[in-house]
Amino acid sequence: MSAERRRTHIWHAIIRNAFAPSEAGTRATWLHCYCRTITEYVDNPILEHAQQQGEVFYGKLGCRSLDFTCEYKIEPDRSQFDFFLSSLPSPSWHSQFGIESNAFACGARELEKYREPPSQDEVDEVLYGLINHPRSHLHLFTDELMHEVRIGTGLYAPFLFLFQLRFQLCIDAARRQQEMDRLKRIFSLNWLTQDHAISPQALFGL
Amino acid sequence: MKRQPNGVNLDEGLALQTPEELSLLYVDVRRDQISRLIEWYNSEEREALLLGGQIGVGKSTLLSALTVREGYKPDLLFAFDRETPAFSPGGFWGYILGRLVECALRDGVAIPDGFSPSDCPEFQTGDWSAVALFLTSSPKSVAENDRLSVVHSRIAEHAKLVEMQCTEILKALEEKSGRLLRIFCDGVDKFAPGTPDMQSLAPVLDLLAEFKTLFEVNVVHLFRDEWKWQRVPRLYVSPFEDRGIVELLLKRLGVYEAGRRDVLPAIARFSCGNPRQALRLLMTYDYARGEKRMLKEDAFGYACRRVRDDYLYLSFDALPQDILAAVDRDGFIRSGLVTGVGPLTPAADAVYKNWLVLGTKPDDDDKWPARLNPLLKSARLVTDTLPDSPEMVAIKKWADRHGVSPYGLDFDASCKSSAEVWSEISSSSSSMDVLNIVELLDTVAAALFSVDRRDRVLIAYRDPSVMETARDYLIGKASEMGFSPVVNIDLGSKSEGDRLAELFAALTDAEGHAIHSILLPHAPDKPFLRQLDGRRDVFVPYEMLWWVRMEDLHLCLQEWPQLRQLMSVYILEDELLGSLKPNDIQADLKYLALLDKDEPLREAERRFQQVLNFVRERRGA
Repeated sequence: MSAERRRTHIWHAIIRNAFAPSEAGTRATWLHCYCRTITEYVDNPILEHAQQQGEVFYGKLGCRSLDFTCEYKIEPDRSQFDFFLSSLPSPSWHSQFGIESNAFACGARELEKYREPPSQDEVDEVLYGLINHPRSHLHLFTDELMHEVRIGTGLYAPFLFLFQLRFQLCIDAARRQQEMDRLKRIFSLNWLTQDHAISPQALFGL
Repeated sequence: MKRQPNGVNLDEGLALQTPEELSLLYVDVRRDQISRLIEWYNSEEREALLLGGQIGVGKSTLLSALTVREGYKPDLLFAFDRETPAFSPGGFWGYILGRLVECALRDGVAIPDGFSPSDCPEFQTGDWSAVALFLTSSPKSVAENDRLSVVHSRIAEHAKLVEMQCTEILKALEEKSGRLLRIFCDGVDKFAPGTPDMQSLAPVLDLLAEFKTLFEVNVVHLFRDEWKWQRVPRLYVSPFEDRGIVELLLKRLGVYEAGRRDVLPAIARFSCGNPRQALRLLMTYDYARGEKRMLKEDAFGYACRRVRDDYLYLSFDALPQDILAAVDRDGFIRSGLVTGVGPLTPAADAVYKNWLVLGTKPDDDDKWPARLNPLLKSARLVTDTLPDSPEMVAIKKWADRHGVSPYGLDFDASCKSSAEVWSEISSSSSSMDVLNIVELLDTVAAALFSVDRRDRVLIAYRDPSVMETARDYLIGKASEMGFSPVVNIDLGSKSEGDRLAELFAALTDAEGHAIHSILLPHAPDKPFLRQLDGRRDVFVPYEMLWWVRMEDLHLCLQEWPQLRQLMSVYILEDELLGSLKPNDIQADLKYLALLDKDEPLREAERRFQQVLNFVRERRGA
């Protein structure tokens, strides 16, 4: 089996188990844990705790020091993100994802078919591509350090998008590395073999 | 306070204290002053020293640099502002006696005859160490406060005896150590000359001036010689140069400096070398840019206006108009105007409140270089004297376009008489933000929800029921984020004498997870407000929301030249229903209903339910 297919599997396993809460209660818990850790991870954060109206969750996060705010709205079958930069007319960028983007996840047990098992390095590389350096991304700033802010544009799962956005809003290299190390401990090879769901509390280290 | 090694470290200009803070954020631009302090420290001459500078100029940080960074630690440290249980003659004498007894017991020095535990049955013990603790700690209950008051009265009656006893202990400690003791008195700067508190403290300082003591004082103390402790050598802490301020701000911004780099020279100019003023300007600018999404020049104008109003606070009824205008014209102030006996002269008051900023100490001590604080001046007058940096060009353009000053002072002092200028200052309206409840949350969220910060926010209100709802709403939101517990302190419900004791007894959580919501009494008495002001630094470790009636705001700001330095001030709009809709609160409650609840979330639910009930009731009515 090709390395590409293994990585695809890992990619989907991570999203399915940690970034795809489906029930309203799990979504609320995920967002609650998310909001609580924003203030610890992001410098000078802008934050409005998630709220619920019907089946819709909405909220706001950003970083004052980057003059950046994102307002999000997550519905059962679509999600919407509006971005605001102080230097540009508002909103600076608007993006929507629909349910159809989510339809091609591969099955959980497919990994068993692989002749060569995946390595931790492969899991780490996938994590890196999901969170740290999304393959398709948008740069908001040109300054050397702030250039590190990469907003993933090809991430259909709204909760994954929010997670990588939180990661990107901190440009302190040491804290980023610490966060990646933490994630690597969660998404271990052992976890991949068992392929079990990761609770929001575990994901956010609460 | 928790600091981020590479990230943003903004605060209201608190003194750096820990080795970590000093290594990350200290700007080493005062080598001469540090050298002079080390020279004094190493000298075996029995000589006291006054270390004086204006509020926010960095005196306490300089002392931390001496003790923590350079390692010149005091043998004895007195913190009259933070540790004295009561600002009264008995309180100060009791405190110094308690501290000295502690040292005597530690060093095995016999406590000489004089005041003894048996003189006060209120001590409830004959044990000196328990007595020392009693005299040097804030009372933990009203009953303890009552007992302490009786003890303080008795000590005041025997002040001479206590004075002799303290002198004897100090001499015995010196004899035991075989050298002169290095004594530091920090926080003397919180006591303005001529106030009753200073009158009570001065005899104690006089005693310490007989020893090798370093006094941290406000610059106005350097101009006086009515007390023995003021007639000793002086070391003046002058303002930073602009490049020092820029360096300081760059350190505070860490890896995020790129987004603010262009405004730093302007902030340095408008801070007139005062690091705290610079930090306040940067914080407010940061808020205006990042949160309110203002354009750069608008954000800068907003920052100047806000900082002028809540940090500097112009008391229009007490402006020494002629002096300020003369300094603005001449660029100096004559020492004779600041010197005086008793209460501060108008010129000294203007220096004490940072309306006038003193420059480097002159050779002849007569004409001190001085400036009118740039935040009090018109845009045109100030910006015309600055080099045309891109930021300044933008500010000028903005001011020209709008025909007003970017700080909300619609006057131009350049071609008017002083009377005209000050008449215009007096008539310029306050730009203090009047916020509805949701805007208020947005504004204080960064402070309220930050795990790293401990801010103090002062909110003025007119309608008590709106205040209560706003309080529930803010606390509900903070609890939702996990900040808990909430400590409610209603000082209005306490008798006048017990207020301070109640407040201190409630300040128990120094971890910073609790939020202290303090309701000030209606028409608070001035002595109480002054006590709070002098104890400013006691509040530094705590996250606090202070609530005050609108009609008392002016009095608080006037009586809090020190405390207001560490506060942001907002006015709560009376109208509630326009900003707070039942649907929004229900959305919060619905959300909470989906979660497994810990204690903070249960608190949030209780608070939101109270808010919802109130809003429904109001709408129904």
